Amino acid sequence: MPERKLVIEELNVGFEGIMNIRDIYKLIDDWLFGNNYDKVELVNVEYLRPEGKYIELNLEPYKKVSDFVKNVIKIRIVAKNVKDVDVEEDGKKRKMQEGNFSMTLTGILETDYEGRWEQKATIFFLRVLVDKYIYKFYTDKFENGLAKDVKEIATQVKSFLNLYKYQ
Amino acid sequence: MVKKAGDISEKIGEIRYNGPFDYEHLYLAMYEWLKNHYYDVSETYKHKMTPTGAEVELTIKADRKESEFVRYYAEIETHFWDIVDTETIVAGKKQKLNKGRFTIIIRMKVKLDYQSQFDKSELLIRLYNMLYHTILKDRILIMWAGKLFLELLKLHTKIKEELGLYTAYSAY
Repeated sequence: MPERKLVIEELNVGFEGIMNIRDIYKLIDDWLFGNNYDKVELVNVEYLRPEGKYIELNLEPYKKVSDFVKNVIKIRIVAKNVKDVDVEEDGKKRKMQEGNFSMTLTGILETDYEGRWEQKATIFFLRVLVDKYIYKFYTDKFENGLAKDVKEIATQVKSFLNLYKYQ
Repeated sequence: MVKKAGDISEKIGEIRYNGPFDYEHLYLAMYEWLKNHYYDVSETYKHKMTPTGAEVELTIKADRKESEFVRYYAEIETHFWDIVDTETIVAGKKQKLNKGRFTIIIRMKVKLDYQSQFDKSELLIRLYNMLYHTILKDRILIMWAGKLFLELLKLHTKIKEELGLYTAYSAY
């Protein structure tokens, strides 16, 4: 079993109003692709309800930083009461959505993700020593990198949602 | 006895949906996509009528020979509940559709040495493990498993497009 360290716990982004869910998803997907994350879309839910659509997305993209360390970002997106609306933009009609949007981001640093250092008690003991005293400098660096990535996604989505407010 | 290194399996994604959809189009989209990508396809199908509509369990298993050493496996597991016929107006025209809820799970597997050429002796198994863990490690993960993963991610997006989901997009 790899060791998982919670670097950023539940960073939330919320929005209520008119937005384009397709563009938000595209923004996140493009960002992950551009930053060399492997896409893992665990669950994609879309339910039609009388009050509007319910959309839920659970993404768990990861990036192998080295043979020992892996960045995992848990992204949970929930959109409730989503209804299609037509919005006029530069004289052209565009389909947008109205509803409640929330996104939760969690950053997890996984070490020894291949489980190579826990096959024997002596190796496990060595790993703990190396982790604590030698590799700590690198682990801190990796933690900072992951935290930066998580915050950047949140900032990008926030800025994107802010644009809608001023349209 | 030395244990031979295992296959690479991964879940690509799961789609849960509730609302109107076109069952026939959805099925054809999945089937044709696999056929167009040179997969051999086999299916298991269970159909049951319930008071609230039809319940269908359809599993599509597909495989493709990638080389003499590598074989790709894809599995689409679907489960539909409460399927009834419905008429919906799409772009001003009446269209016959289905209504219900379902889950679609896509899985992949890369089987190495699928002809069991390395099973013949302990030395061959050790050689295979050496190939798997060191010499071919990057090629297995990036070239073979990565290729199948990206391929099936496109199928995943195709299904989302067919359902008209907001998230029908992939940068990969």
